[in-house]
Amino acid sequence: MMDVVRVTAVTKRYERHGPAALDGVSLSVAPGEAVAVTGPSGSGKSTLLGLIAGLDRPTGGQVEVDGENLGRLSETALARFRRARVGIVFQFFNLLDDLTVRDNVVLPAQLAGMPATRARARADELLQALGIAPRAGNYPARLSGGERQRVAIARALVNRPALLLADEPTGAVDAATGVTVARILRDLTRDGQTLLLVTHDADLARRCARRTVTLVDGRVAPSAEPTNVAEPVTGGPA
Amino acid sequence: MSAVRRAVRAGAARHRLAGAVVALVVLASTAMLVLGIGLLVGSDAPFERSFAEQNGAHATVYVDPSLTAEQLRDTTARPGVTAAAGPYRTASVELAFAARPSIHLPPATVAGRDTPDGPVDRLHLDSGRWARVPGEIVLAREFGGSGFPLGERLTTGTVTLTVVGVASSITRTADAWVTAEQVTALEGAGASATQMLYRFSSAGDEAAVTAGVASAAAGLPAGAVLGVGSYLTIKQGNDEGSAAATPFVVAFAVLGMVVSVLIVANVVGGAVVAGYRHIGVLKAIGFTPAQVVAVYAGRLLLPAVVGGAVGLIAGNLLAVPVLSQAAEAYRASVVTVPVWANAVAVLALILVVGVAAVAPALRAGRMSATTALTLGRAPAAGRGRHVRRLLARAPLPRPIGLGLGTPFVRPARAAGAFVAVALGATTLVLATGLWTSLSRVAEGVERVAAAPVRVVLGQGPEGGPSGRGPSGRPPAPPAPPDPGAVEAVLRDVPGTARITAVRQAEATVTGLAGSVPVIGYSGDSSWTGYRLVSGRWFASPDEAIVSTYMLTASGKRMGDTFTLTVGDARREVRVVGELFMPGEDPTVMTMDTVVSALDPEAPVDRFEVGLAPGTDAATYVSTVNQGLPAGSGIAFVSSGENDTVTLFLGLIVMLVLLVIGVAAIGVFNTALLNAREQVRDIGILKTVGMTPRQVRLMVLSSLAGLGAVAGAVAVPLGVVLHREVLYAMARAAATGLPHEFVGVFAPIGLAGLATAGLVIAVAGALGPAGWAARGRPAAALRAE
Repeated sequence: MMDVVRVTAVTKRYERHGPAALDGVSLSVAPGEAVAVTGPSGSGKSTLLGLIAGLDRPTGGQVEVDGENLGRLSETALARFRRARVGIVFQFFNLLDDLTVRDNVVLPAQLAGMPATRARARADELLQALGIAPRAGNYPARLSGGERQRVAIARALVNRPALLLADEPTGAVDAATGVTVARILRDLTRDGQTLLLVTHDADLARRCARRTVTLVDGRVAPSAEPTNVAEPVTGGPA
Repeated sequence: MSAVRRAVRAGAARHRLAGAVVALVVLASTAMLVLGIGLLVGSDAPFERSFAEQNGAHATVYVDPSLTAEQLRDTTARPGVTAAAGPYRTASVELAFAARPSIHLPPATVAGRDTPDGPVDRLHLDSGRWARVPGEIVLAREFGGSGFPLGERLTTGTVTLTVVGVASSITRTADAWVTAEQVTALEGAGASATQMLYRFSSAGDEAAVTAGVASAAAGLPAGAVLGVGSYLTIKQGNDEGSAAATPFVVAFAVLGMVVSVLIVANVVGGAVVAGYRHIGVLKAIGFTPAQVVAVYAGRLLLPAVVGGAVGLIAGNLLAVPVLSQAAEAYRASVVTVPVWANAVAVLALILVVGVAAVAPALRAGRMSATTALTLGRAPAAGRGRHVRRLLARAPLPRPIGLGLGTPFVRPARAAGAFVAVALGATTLVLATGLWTSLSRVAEGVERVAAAPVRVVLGQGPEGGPSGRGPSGRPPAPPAPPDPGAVEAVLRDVPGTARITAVRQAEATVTGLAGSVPVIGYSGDSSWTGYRLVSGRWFASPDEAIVSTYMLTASGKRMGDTFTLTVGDARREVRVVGELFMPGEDPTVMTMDTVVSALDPEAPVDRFEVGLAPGTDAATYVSTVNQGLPAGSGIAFVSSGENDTVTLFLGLIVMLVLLVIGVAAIGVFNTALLNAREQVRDIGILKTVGMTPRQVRLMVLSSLAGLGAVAGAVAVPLGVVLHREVLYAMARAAATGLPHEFVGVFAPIGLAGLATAGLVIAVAGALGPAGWAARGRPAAALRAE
């Protein structure tokens, strides 16, 4: 079966003659696979996630996601790609403060042209599944960190993406909430959701991913070997 | 370096775009303010100002050319004479284009002057230079000189003259000037005289001017004075023209200045509010509220001063063509931006920038650091949420719904942009209305559609660059024509649909001082195209229509009767219509039999001719002129152009473009600030799949909705303003207004104008929308 993510010799420089944030990185993720990208701060993890999400373009190399060579897509096609093929969960949630929880979740579906009633039904289904249905009418500012992250996960999933990308999803929540978020991600992967998780938290990587890739100074560390089956997540609300 | 100064410098360097935006807005606003003040100042007593600047002549006196220089020098020392210029030899000549000899210009008085300066009548050189050698001529602007390209060659007799300049004399002392040496060569081509220009110690009224001239000429032989022109005659005509221009020029200037001040306050205030997060950081590291204010005032005043300085230059450059138009509209020789206006414009805007920066900075300075940080990250919670929630459920594409909700997040900024757009759109509605009204006025005055062909008996056509010679010169007596022969020719030429003969008598009217022209039309003349303020055209010899001024000056009304008297002859006419006729001219129009009864000797002055459909007026006129007996008259096509209206229209176009331009710049900056402030939200939206096109649509919608409402509000405002300005112009021109001049807005037109706000808003927001759409989401999130 074709890989969901295939990154080939990707380089990224933010300045023409500056240092490479990513230097010849290659990586692939199979369908249904959960892969964690770890590494110290500044190693290029988030940059790699941004390139795979189509949020940015590489300086060199090729990024292919769900059979789509992102380098060939226009900005408009990239936007359509993001809305249909990937869902992104950020460390700081990146919810729109002036929209309610439900409206935040519905938004990508609306942008994709999903009929309003269907979009709302899908959002409610996700909010229910993630345990935040009672907060659907609230604004993000009224939610706890964990609740916000669950809203962000719901939003990422609303269009049933082929790939879920998570960038330090527990980085801005307390430890207990982090466990909850990890469990949600773990459950999603069990249901077959392909996941690429970026984290500097080795424990989270171990819990959520079946394989870990380590980046150091923009390169895949030679010692990085695929890890085994993820450990069960314990503690916290389901 | 102090912490404040360092923060100011760092902030200015870090926020170069915001600084550039403030500089741009202040630049445009300063330019508009300079221009606005210039226009307002210019509208205040334009004749008096020009007269004072030029040391204008109270009297232009033409004397016998045989008088000696010594005799004339003696006149300048007579009691009451405070200054004098001359003697200047003058020649009355007929000029023609060298390249088109068949086209004759109106008779012109050419004065020989070696310099435009002097103790009296210091001429304003509009363009080109003064005549230096024989063969060169400077035309008066009042003669229509502005319409001649420099280098145009004119002929009179055997002399060829090249136009080297255009100058203006507020008291119209001549139609053109050549060197003193040249004028002697022209004297053979026409009547000659010597011109003396005087200023008197007392010249407040006509009697004083007459007494001054009498005193000056007391030592001259009897009959030496050939003619006298008083500045009061010129002033009256100028005041009528300039008074009509004042209301609309003032309206545009005030609108422009209000929009300018508003957008500066909006943009500067917005820039401070956008910096709340930074203010929070400053407070967190120990800046006091006063230091916060100092940092922001300093950061915004720097670009404001730069923008103001460049704006001054731009404003003064811009003022050259606009004030030149205004000068013509005011019939002043020159309208300039006073030095103090520059100072006022810059200081006023710097004050506005200061207040607009200090007020929100002070507010932020008094907040806790946490509150400032929170507000800086996003507007206060709850703002516009109900509206945004409603919009989220509205059956609208999501980007449009999101965009329409944006103004409610920053209501003060949105209100500022709203008013700027509304005033810009109001200006457009006003300008459109005035354009239509003035075009109809021009048609009402010139009547080119109804009576396109005029046949003047015994002389050349009116029109051309100027139909008026300088004051004080007696016109040449016309040859006695045969109206019957002319009418016969007209009736024989194919294409003649209607003819009316016009004759005129000067009558006295009970209740009015002086004489009143009574103009008589033969037969049915209701088709001649005159516009009536009220009532109907006369239908019998006991009926008449009269000008508005005649009614107001006499205190009479429609249905009242005037008694017209010429010598022993007397006729009574009942007023059945009020004639639209700008100017303080009492005029009566009635059947020609009334004029003949009052003055049997009153000749037919002209014929007015209506043409059959499909008749080419130029061909028709050519045929008529070929058929007219020599010296009997000349037919011409009415140009349909009214110099005053054309001037006003040109000025309106310039002013409306300026005001709308400033409003659009205001919208641009508001949209840019919004987009900059929403960079995080836009980044998120892109992340979840909003396409660049959708982002553009969202940003445009954020101001389009506001613009659409502003446009809708602007329509009634503009219509009311148009009405008020038009009536003010009419009052200044001493005339009533026919309804067709006022009710110029058709429903479809109004619907179109209602979109003006939308167009201005979208035009202003296009740039920022493109900027917001282009950025990559990763960059936007990083920037946040």
